[in-house]
Amino acid sequence: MAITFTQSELTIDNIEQNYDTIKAHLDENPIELDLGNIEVLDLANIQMFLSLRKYCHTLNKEFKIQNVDSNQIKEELKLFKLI
Amino acid sequence: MNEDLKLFLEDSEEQLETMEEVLIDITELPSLDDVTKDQINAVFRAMHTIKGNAGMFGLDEIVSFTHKAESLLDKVRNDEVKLTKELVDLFLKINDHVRMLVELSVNEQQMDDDQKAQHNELLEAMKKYLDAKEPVVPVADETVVVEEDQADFDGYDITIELYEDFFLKKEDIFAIFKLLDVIGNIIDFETDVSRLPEFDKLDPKKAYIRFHFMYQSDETLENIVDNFELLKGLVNIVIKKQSQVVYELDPQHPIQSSPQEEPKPQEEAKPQDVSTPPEAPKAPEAPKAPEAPKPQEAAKAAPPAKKQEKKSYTLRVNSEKVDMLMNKISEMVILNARLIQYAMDKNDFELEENVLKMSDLIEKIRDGVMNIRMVQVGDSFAKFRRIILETAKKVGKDVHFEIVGGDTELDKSMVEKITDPLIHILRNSVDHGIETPEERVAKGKPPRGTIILKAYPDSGMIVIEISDDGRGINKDRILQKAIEKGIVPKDANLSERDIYNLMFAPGISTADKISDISGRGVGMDVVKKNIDSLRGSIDIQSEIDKGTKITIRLPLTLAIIDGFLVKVANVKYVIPLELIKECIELTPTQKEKVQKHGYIALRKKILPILDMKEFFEIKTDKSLRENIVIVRYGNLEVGLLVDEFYGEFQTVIKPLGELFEKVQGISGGTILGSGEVGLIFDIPRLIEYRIALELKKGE
Repeated sequence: MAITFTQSELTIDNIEQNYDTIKAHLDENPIELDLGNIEVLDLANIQMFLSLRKYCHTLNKEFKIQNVDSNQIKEELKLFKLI
Repeated sequence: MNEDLKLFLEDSEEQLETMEEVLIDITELPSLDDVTKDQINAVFRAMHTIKGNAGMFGLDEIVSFTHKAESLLDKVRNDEVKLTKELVDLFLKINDHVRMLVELSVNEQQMDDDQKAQHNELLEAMKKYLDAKEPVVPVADETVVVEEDQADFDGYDITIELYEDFFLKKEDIFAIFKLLDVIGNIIDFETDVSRLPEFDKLDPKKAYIRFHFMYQSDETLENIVDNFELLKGLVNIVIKKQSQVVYELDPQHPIQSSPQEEPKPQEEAKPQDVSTPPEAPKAPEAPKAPEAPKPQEAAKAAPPAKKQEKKSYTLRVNSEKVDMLMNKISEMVILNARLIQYAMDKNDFELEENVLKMSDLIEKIRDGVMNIRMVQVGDSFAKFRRIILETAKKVGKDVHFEIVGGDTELDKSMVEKITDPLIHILRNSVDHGIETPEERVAKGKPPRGTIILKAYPDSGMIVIEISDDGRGINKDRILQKAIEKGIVPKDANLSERDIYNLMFAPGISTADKISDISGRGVGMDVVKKNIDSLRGSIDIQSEIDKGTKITIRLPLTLAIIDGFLVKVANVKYVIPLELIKECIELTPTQKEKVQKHGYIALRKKILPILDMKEFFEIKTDKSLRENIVIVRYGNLEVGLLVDEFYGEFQTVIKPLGELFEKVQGISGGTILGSGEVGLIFDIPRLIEYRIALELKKGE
């Protein structure tokens, strides 16, 4: 089941909460992040996703980010090769 | 307005000035086929830079507008759209509009209805060209990833390492990339995640990543790194060129090389370590191992003793801070003069010697600070080209405008204050001086008129000349108008120079028609007033159908000058040292000549003498010894008869105040070491006065 976030802004201010949300899904395979309602995504959260992807690689799990609506976020994720 | 926005405003103004200058250059070319790629690129870069900077502040209106302009310029540089006169005009309008958008944005204002209408009109005009064949805007333009053939790569290798607490400072890293993208191209962007812990061991608030990319830019290294200074304490940035470190933001925190920086075979690269560039969207994790140095690069990197590029930085400082420093130096100069006086009074030679040494140091500091305030006049003059172009267009004239001596330096505040008078004179020149092409052809002149704005230093002053090859000034008409207005009596016997000077009287205009540009006779009096307030002078020479030359002379600075202290009767005066040619003691024969004729013969030349006691109407006995200070202004020389010389004196110029500002022959005051007030001779006026006396005698 894709991981969804309750906030629309994923920033350093709520990163620990986001971290816990993801941690609760670490057993899943594939690990999918649903960014459907996300309007703001800061670099700290992007770094967290990079770490998650690294974790998936180590464990040979599939990692996916889906439903990115915001063009800006799409561009940023492309820059970091997360999508 | 916060400091960052101020910087944005200043940068945008610079970019727009550059853009405008290039566009005006283009309009002056005989044919648009002569437009070079460099010129189009310069305009493109200006728009691109403003777009990038505006993006950093989230000024979307500017970003989207400049993006359209940039796309259109891109089409022009790729020969997809032909550059026409109309298109150049459109870019000039875009330039003005962006200037307005920037001003509104930094002042947090919205466009009014007229501005919105103009905005839409310009967008529509650009759309027409763009729709001809809409270019696909590459994603790279908006992100920062640009793929380029690196075979001949000769750019910079940049590594940015975020410090652990970077995220907590809430700085926008994308701003850095955007900034770099606007002044160059980011190539082969990689995120180094090698220091990133496993997810379950991650402290999400700490920054672990670093970025590595190749970078190419036409900007100098100092311009590139200028942008990084703001990031001090947040990140470290290392820039290498051909394997040599050429810049490091924070040498205290050297970036340790990660395993990825060591060249290794492709198959050994750990997939999870490096976030790689784009090609494989289905497998974004698949990394591109950093490449081993290419033979060419390796060869370039070979000489290990390659001299490191010398770094020099430009510092942008608020001019108020420099003014404040100048004020303090002025106070030091005054205090120092008092100390010298004190040491002399006390006959304390040791103190006097040390104070004189300090005096020398203060002089050096003064010169250094004054030098900071000096700017090249050409930067400011460049904007006149647009004014000339627009005015000429409006009145149906064809004018070639030339700036000569743009590298001449003048105090910044002086440049600012002289700008409005110059605009006024130049507009007059286009409107009244230069004839229409038809008139010019009928007079046997080329259809295109010429206006030259020339600046050069002369005898410690800066001379600005505005000359045109137009119809000249009808001095009979000026005289007639002045008589009509009761400014001079009907039977006035005026020299040519006096008549031209009447143009500076309020309400005098020789224009046949009043336009919204000039002709109301309001302005030249203000011009004269402004120049007088700068301790400068203005002079007009004109010849019917040949043209007019207006010469403005300005002192180099408004604050402190090197003066020469003299005594007339029992009062001390200062003469600006740079206007002094020489000093001589009056011989008895010369004394006689002065008394009889008002001049002396000096080295077979006649030198008019101005007796300063007579000038100030001081009634005292003649001194036993009298001296002459020969002063010059332009090509005029006069000897000032004074009693005593005291030598050089650093002079802090103080205004005289309203009550005394009209006192003839005095341009300001200063405080002497003894605490007395010393008055500064207004040399241009004194020379003018003496020459006018001579002319009257001749008539």
